Amino acid sequence: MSLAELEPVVRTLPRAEKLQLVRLLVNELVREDDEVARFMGENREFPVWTPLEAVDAAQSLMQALEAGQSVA
Amino acid sequence: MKPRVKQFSFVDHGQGPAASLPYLPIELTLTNRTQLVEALVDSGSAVNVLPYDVGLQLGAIWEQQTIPVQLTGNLAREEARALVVSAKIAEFASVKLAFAWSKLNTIPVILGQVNFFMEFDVCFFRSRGVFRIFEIEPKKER
Repeated sequence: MSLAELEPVVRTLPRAEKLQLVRLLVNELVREDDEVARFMGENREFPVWTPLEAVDAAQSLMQALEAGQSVA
Repeated sequence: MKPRVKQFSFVDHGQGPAASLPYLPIELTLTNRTQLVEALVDSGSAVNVLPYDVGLQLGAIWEQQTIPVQLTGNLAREEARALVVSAKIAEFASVKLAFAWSKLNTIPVILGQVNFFMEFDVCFFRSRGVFRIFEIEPKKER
């Protein structure tokens, strides 16, 4: 079935199903990308250590820099 | 005078190109001890982070660090304290970097906004597997 045949059908879908269709297409594209799909699909863990929005920590370190804190 | 720039490659640690991350070789020095480490250049991190063992290898003494640092996310569960060290990248002048020295060891050395990104500018070219570090301006030894 071609895109030209699909398009009129897609246009009649309710909004929620259009969004589902977008997700389905994205997932299909990811699967087709062998390298990324293999990497993501091997039951790996992806630890994220980034301390996001650690504002207090940032201020503490700026104070340490200004004080010139280091081990003698 | 034009700022100096040095290019580094993303590192995949044998897990393939999809797993490549911007790890930067950087020398950390405290008093008379120096450690060459691979540090993750993490623009999303508010601060620099140092794993516990690396601090010990530099000769730092936990009980002598008096400024507590409250980290967030996966790092929040362990205590951290401020530790200022000298840092050298390639032939660039040394700078002072302040780290949140964490009690955790299951973490990389992290270079974040305070204060790595205050001392250096960084451009990432992920599609080419490289990133560039720029001296903001030529500095004298600090």
